[in-house]
Formats: sequence, structure tokens, C-alpha cells
Amino acid sequence: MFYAKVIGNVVATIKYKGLIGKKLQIIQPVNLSTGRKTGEPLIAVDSTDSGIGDFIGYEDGMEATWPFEGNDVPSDATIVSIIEKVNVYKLDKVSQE
Amino acid sequence: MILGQVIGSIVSTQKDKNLTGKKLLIVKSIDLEGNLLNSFIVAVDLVGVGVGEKVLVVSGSSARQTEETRDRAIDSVIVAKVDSYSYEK
Repeated sequence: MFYAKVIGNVVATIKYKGLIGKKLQIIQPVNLSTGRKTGEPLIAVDSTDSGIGDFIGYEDGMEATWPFEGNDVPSDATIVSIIEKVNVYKLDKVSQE
Repeated sequence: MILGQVIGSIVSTQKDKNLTGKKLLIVKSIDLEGNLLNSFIVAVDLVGVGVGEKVLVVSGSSARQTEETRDRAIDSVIVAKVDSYSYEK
């Protein structure tokens, strides 16, 4: 899973039948601990109910079709979680034992 | 999924059997401001779009997860014609 921020949405009336009724969001991948952008924006199908400004987790590749069990949803990026809170513990030393 | 603009089509008569009847279009990727980027791909059209239109392209093995493309030699498909989009910077 990768993390991103929802920055916009796409309106498309003519689309493949498996995508009808699915929300399409524009997401900007970010580093959750620093908040910095980590790549180019992309478009993801929404399987949650995210909104603009939300931090989300998304799957890419083949796994992106798994939330839609009907198997007729061509998606290579799917929003699968909305992030509420992040805890990052920084380790100064990693034990070798 | 990436945003792209259709810039042309491909005619090919000698092709693998399982590609017969599939419309092949050349799609150039665009950024959110609408500028054409350098990369382009050849994608199978599932929705019926024309040259100049903005589209969404799915690539990789996800492109084979539809009834029309399953078990065929296809790795990118056009799945939607974009009417509009909005975003915050």
C-alpha cells in the first residue's frame, strides 16, 4: 500500500461498464511522516468514500482490482483506506541481536 | 490510471488472433495542467473515443481484468472519456 492525498476528482460520463458508479479521484502521493510529495499525481478509483484533502492509502497494479470482487473493474490504482492518524517512531539504533 | 490525450490510431492487419477487432489508439500522457508529456502508449479502446479527446488509461495486468480483454495480449486500455476534472495544487 502507498499513501497519498486526495487533491481533486475526475468527471467522466462515458466509461467502461465496470467503472460506472465508481468515484475517480486525483491523488498526489506523499510521504506521511514528512508530508512531502513523492511523485506525479495519478487517478484512482475510490472504494472508500474519500473527499478532497483526505490522506488515503491506495493499492496499485493488479491488487487494485481486488476490492471489486466482480472482476470486471479495470483499475490500476484503487483507494482502499482513509488515514486518520499516523504515529512514526524513530529508532536511533537498531538492535543487532 | 493516467490521464492522456488521443493523438492518433494504428492500423494493423497482421496481428495476433486475440487482438482481432480491437481498436488501437496512440495516447500521449498529459499532466494536470494539460501539457503533453513525452511518453506515449498504444492502448486498446474499450469505450469508443476519437482523436483529440482526453482519456483515462489503465496499464499493466489490471488492463486484462475486463470481459473484453481477459487472456489477451493487452497491457493498456482506454477505460473512460474525461469530461472534466478539478484539483487543488
